[in-house]
Amino acid sequence: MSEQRMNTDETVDPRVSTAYRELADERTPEHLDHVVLNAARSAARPRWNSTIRWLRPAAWIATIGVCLAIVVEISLLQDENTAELDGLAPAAAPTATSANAERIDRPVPAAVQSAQKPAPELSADPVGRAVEAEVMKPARELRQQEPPMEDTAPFQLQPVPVTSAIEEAVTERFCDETQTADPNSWLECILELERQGLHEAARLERDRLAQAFPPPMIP
Amino acid sequence: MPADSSSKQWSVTVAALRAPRVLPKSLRLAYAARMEHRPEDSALMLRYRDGDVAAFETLYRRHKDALFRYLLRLCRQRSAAEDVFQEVWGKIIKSRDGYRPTAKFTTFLFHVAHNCFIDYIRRNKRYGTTADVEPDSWPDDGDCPETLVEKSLARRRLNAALSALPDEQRDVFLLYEEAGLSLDEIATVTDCKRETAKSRLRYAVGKLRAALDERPEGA
Repeated sequence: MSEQRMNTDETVDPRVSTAYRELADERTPEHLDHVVLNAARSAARPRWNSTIRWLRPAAWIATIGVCLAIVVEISLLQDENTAELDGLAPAAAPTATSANAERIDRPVPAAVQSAQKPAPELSADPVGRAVEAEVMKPARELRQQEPPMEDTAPFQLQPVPVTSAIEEAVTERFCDETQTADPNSWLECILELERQGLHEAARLERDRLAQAFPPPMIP
Repeated sequence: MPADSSSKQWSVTVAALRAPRVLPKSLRLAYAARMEHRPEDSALMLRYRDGDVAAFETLYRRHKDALFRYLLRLCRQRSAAEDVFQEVWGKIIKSRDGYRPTAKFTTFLFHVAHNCFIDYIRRNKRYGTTADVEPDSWPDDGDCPETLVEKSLARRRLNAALSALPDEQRDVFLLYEEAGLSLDEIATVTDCKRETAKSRLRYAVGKLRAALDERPEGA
């Protein structure tokens, strides 16, 4: 190669080149070889680190992408369900009606029968009527507040508000606190109630009087 | 030893060096086959960029001695040459990720070396005050004592002439001889025009030829 360059350049004397070749026969010291090659090896090793450096953002991007895909999929599913329900709504109405008819034909369970029974007639006793009216009032009010039950919804008894209304009625006082403080005045109140024809109220107050004061005190 | 016998010995040595070395055909074919399978420097560097340390070792062993001699002659101090040598290979190792085989690897390598040498001069204010590259400390080839003496004298003269060259001329001559670069490539490495590089090389070769032509004292 050197001779070719000399022919083209015509600058270098081959004698000088040969003499220099004889002169220059130094070799690289071994410790330098070790240093450089070790540096090359250690520089080639951290390529894993650079990969890991890219791996972390890539993992984040992948995670975000998967989350977005799930969210989009779920929203699409919801839309599809809504559309299906909208499409089925007119067709579902006659089905519900026929279901009601079937329900009418079917034998009704005993619990439901008792729930569906018409309310017992109010007693002729005015006190009892008043108590019943008080007992039934909150239930009636609650029933009026409730939205009309859909045909598709299953029939459910809701006794909890009624029970609380009954308890509320039972705890109602017909004699005020000043009268109940003294047994005589309480008894007068009971007699007045009986005189007015509120026998049920008088009975409740008599029971309370019996609980509050021992029986010997009652004439 | 008489003077005429010494000059005869010198001329024999020079004639032996000038004689074309003809290899047997089988060896030439084997050598050619081996050269065909020799991977390119840039391919080795690209393999090292991909993490193949063995490729770098091959590349390093291919160029380390030429680079070390280049830096040794340029810095004229062994310790400085070793430092710059390490720095050069460190930069090569660091630049592996951004390496693009746009030019010969040798051009790239010696461009880095040239720049590191410039940096070394700038860093080291005491550059050029002393030179510790002793030609007599180099190993002999097992020649006869007269030849050794002749070689030693020639080395000494050439080394002295080389050290006496201006930095630019020495740089260009070493790039030509050690790196095997063409004038265009030398101009690229040293950031000058081709004609400037050629002129520097011509001056350097002329001075070295004059030093070689000098007869030893008493000859």
